[in-house]
Amino acid sequence: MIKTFKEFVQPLSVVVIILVAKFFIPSAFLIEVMIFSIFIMSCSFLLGYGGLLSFGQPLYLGVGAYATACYLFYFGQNPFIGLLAGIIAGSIFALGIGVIIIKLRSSYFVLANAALNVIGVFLVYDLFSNITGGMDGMWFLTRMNPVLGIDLTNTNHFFIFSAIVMLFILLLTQHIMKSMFGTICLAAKTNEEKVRFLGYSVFKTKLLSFIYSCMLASLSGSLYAIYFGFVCPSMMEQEKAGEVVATTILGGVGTLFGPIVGAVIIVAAKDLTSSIIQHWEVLVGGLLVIIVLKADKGVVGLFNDYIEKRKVILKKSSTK
Amino acid sequence: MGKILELKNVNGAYDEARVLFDVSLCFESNKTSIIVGKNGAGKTTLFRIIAGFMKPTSGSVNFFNNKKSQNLIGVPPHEIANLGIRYVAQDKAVFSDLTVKENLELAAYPTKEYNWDFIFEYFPKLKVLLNKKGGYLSGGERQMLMIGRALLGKPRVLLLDEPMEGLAPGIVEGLIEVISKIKEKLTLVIVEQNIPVISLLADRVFAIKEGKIVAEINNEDDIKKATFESYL
Amino acid sequence: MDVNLLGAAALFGFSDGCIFFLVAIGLSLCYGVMRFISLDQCAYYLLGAYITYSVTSITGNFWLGLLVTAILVALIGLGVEKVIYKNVYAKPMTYTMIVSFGLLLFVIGIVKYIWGVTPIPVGQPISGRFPLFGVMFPYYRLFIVIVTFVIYLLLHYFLNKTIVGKAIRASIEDIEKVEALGINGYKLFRITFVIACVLSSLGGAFHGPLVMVEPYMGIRILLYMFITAVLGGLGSLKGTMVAAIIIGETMSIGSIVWAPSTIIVPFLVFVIVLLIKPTGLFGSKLLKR
Repeated sequence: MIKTFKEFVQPLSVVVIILVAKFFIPSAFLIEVMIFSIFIMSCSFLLGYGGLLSFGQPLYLGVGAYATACYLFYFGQNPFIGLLAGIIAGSIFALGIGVIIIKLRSSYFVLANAALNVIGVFLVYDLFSNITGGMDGMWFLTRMNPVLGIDLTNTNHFFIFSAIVMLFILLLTQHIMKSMFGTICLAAKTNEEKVRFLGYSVFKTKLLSFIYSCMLASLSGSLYAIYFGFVCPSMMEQEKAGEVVATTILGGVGTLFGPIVGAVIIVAAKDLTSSIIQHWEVLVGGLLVIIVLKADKGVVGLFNDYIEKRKVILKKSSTK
Repeated sequence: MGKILELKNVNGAYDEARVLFDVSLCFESNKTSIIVGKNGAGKTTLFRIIAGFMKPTSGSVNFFNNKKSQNLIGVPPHEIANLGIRYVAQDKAVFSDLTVKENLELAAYPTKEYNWDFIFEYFPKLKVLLNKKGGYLSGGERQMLMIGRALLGKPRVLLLDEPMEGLAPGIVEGLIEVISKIKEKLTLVIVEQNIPVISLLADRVFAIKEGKIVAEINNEDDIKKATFESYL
Repeated sequence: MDVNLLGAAALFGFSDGCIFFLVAIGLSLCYGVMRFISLDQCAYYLLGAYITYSVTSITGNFWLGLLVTAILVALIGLGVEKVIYKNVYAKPMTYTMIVSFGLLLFVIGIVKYIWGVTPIPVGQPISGRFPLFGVMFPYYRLFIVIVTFVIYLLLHYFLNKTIVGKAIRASIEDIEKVEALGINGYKLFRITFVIACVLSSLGGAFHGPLVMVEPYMGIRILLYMFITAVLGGLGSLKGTMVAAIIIGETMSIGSIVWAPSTIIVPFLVFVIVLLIKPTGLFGSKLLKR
């Protein structure tokens, strides 16, 4: 799975940086960055590898969050199983939805996802409110028991747990990106015909990308749920989707570390300036326009380009 | 006479897939050049680059206009068309929701060429079909319309991409006749796989294989003698 | 079920549909010509509602409000196209969607800044009702229906009888062939885009008195606009009109049967039709490029 040491080192160093940063930066910020970046990875992978734009990722976050919440509220008290419930629910849900909407062309897909998000929110706060607690949400902080000495209601334990999850997800995503599947995904983005001629099913490729992305979104939802011990409909409101897309583009679509970089910038910006909340539309909207116009590869994308250029220059000077 | 269109070291690619390698071609004014090659050899890509629908990764495309040379790379397609280089694509697609008359009107609009008699001399059938919508025309009728539209553009260079493809022999004969009539008046560059057509019309033949020019036949006798099967 | 209620819902739904048409036709045509998803049409709808309201409340003249709106939005649209969209055409469709959505958010933010967040109730410029099929139907809604149909006829004339309109129809089919004839495709798009912006702004101006004018109108209309355009068939004038009426009616009648219909029913209609005919009711080209 991990071919070279170098492949392991990069994700590991990022996680180590986060662990070390705990001594300087409040863990609340770091936890938010970690969970948010997993959510952003969902959008980034879907767009960068699946070639599908989604303004409805909050829906899948909601599925994970509420699945975990329902398990912990009604059934058991093991948060790890709750987490698993969230991931499984999200993946099955994505499979069911994906089979229907992936056949649609890219802009229909955007529309369908966004509409589903709105409908999902409605179902949660209205139609199924007797199960989900409606607008008030569900509170289950006290229902989570420690497992094998690990108490996820303890911030420090949760912090380390998130870091481990983050490392695992980074390695897994990196593995997928570099695998044959990842290459086919990239090929299918630009030339579906050729990929079909090679014998691969474009539909299955996109469906798998979609399921993986939504699994990531559900995972982030479950993590939020466990972290707060609480879920409510506003966690999954469709309005948040714009911010998700903006962060994805800012960090760098389809890159491994782009989502983290984007998450750090956006979470920091939100924390540092409360006025951001008031004017977030102008900022997010303006950001989206400017980034697409000027730097559509995002921070990490530009950085990668810079590295490539340096490599070329080094090669040229060494052959002289 | 002199050259009217010259390509030098043109390289073309779709993203990472390279299609044309160092193509250099020179087209003489008022002569008919035919390009032969297999499907996928890069013929259409070549035309698209000349017509401005695609940018080459390197190389130059120069148009010689009244002794001035103009670089066509980066010039928008509609401007290239108005310079007198008209591209008739392979797909025989006319505007299906517009009538034949409206198709011709659109073609005449930029050049204000409202004298359509010469079009009807070449293609009398179009006069009959004036009010028929493009979508209801047969393959041959559509090809006639496409060429008719291009002619209304007062072309100095006409790029025809496989004009005879998929047409019935009778219609092919008619088209050859028309092309023979117009070939004296402008520069023709035709992509063709139909061998008799090549011998009949060509002043010069270029063979293209896997994105490279592999042969150039300038002599009329050589053209008539040559077998082009190897390039197809 | 009360027949009068049903009749009222049907009539109101018809006029609602007209508003949807005005907002959706811009998106439909822009997509047809340039394969460009102009989500920012909702921004012009929003600006239309606010500018008309402001001018009307200052001058007391609704017609002046409409005129100022049309001119201002046309200029804004022209500016947007020249400054932003010109540089975005070459990029993949997902990026054009992101840019136009970003622009929509930006405009919502600006609207919040200038006019504030509080919803504004706007009075109907034409008051009074008259009996129609046993229902007291507002004159204002009748006005909307009439104006929409006039606009429809004007658009139909423009697209079918003028050379520019024919060029636009041709470019909806194949813009490259239009360019190959020597016609500037980008100019055609600019014209189409400005027309779209003005129509969307009129939609907003007319809709304002029917709903509360507030910044998030721009987001709420987005899904309906998109569903209408896609359902009708992108690039089709007739299709958009038919789809708009269908959506308007199903929402209106559905809402008296079951309140959540307003979002669920249009979406269901959309999914069902697309599964049967992916190009939409009158569409002839699958979304491509």
